[in-house]
Amino acid sequence: MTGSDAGPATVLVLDDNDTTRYVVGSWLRRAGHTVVEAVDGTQALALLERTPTAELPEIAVVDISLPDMTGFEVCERIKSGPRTAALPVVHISATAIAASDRTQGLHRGADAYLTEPIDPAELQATVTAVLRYARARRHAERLAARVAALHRSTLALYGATDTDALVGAAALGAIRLGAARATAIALGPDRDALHLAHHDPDLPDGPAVRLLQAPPVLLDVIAHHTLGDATGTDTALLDAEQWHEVLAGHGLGGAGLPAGPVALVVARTKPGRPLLAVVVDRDAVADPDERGLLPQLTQAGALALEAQRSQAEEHALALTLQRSFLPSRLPAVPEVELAVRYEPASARSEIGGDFYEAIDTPAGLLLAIGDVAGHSLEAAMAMGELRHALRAYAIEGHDPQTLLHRLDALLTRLRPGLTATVCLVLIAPDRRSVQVANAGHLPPLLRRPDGSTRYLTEHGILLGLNVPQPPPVDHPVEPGSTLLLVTDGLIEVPGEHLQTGLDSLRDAFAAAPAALDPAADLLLSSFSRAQTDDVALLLARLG
Amino acid sequence: MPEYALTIEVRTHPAGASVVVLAGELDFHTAPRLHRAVEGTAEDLPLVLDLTRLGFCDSVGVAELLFAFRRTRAAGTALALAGTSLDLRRLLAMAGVDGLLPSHATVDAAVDALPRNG
Repeated sequence: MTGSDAGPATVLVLDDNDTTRYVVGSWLRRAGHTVVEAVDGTQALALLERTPTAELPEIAVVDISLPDMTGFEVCERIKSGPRTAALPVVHISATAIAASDRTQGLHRGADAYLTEPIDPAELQATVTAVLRYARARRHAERLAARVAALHRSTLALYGATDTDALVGAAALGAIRLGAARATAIALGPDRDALHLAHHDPDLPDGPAVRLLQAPPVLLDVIAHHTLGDATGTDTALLDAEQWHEVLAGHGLGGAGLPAGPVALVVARTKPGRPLLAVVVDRDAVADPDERGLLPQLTQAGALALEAQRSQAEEHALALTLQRSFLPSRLPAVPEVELAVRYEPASARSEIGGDFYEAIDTPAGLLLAIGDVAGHSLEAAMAMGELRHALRAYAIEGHDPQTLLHRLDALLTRLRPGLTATVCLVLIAPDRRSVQVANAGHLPPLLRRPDGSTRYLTEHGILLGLNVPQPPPVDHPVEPGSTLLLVTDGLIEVPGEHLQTGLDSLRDAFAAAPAALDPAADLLLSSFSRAQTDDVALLLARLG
Repeated sequence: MPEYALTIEVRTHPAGASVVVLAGELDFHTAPRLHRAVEGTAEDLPLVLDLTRLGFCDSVGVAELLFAFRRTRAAGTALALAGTSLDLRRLLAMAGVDGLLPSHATVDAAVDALPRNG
């Protein structure tokens, strides 16, 4: 069912009278149309039934009086079939009939009504007018469906969580806009490779969407054919030879991408940013009304890519900042061995405020672990402030309880509204006792040389509420004991009880190797599986 | 991580308290909505948070409960929790804030236990 507004069409002529059918058919053939014929309603409906959708007639000329059913009934059945609902019907009546019959025909779905004797010019004009109207309507409906598809695809683009998902959504979007197959291309977050998604619904085997990679220079070549360094959207048509050259020149010669001719549709949102490109068969941009839809899709994809990228950049910045807040190395002190691990939350999550510290003070080695609630740049900043303040106060020689009071006052005054948990463990200079002052943090775990483990559970209140802390608690420790301090990212799993996490951490620590680094790696790998938060972990073995 | 994983309903108890009813999950993704809901309650009324149908609460959620505590403390009113799960009570105890956020079996019991001004 294609063709320009008034171009020739396939016409179904349904008339039981051989002469009329012959005459009407020959007039239509003379006008350039292709004619298929039927002698009664049953035959006509069966013919429509077995014809593939793409080859269905574009118009039906139907006699009213047929041997097996009326033309009105044929028309109704045509209009009620999902494949033929849009097929226009022109009724012909051999006998002079009343105006009421004529209106009955039109009311029951017919698009025009002619009465014999038929004038050839009138038949031609009627068929042309009905065809033009039907084609315009079909076109408008298809355009409306494509605009709706564009909206759906735009949502999918914004929902994409990484470059592969985004190019996949862009390629699928181009298919929804009528491209037989499509390839979407974008630069990955690390800028070292292009991510391609090729979507070909007609591919005989394998998945409909294939993900490929290509060197970044391919995008420069596409830019050269289109926008250059400019921003906005652009479309370039490449013949088969040009496109083959582009593919073969960048390692994609045997990748199974379709040969040209192709249309390159590209968009760039900001100067200096890489393009998003969508490559489709050239005929996908042939329709002037729909030509604008693919650039709109590509533009939406470029904006979504930009949003993805700036989120990743912000995350990288916060991560760098957070890293710079953490101690670059740990103090080397006699009789205590230390190991730390810090794992940021996954790239999609927000930045957290976990920190750890180890400070050699006159009163002993002070270990600290903490977590500023929230996942924001502010939480990361507050974490840095707390850690630096802790260092300053600790070097002045304050005891753990006073240190917590100072930090509480600092946080309450500088960052009202934020809360933080901090656990301090002061290891006595003789290494035979530890003093625990815990402001609402997860309790430290102590493993004795015999492998038994227990939580040191005495604690005070978290920081940020300006509430006094209880005095710290002393615990004697044997040589060869190990302390484990963690943040809740390690054990907090949505949907799982906190106590379950605490219990399994204790059991895992009991079974962990004595050497600190293997133990740290084991704990991280077995507990951070459902990790949506930062994880900090500090191990200390007393000599 | 849908934002609608937490539903919030705010009403006024006849005995004179704002009641914020939470159902679902209180975490990093949903906490800002509780923040706004608490900010929207009358400042001169004590506040009860009904957590009976709260399935999950993490440390960010606890921070938000503490925001409600600070707000009522600053306004000179009081805060009470109702229907707190065993797991959440453990989390509150570990953070040392269980004394600041008294927990009651039902909203009515929480309202009855609120200290009255004047």
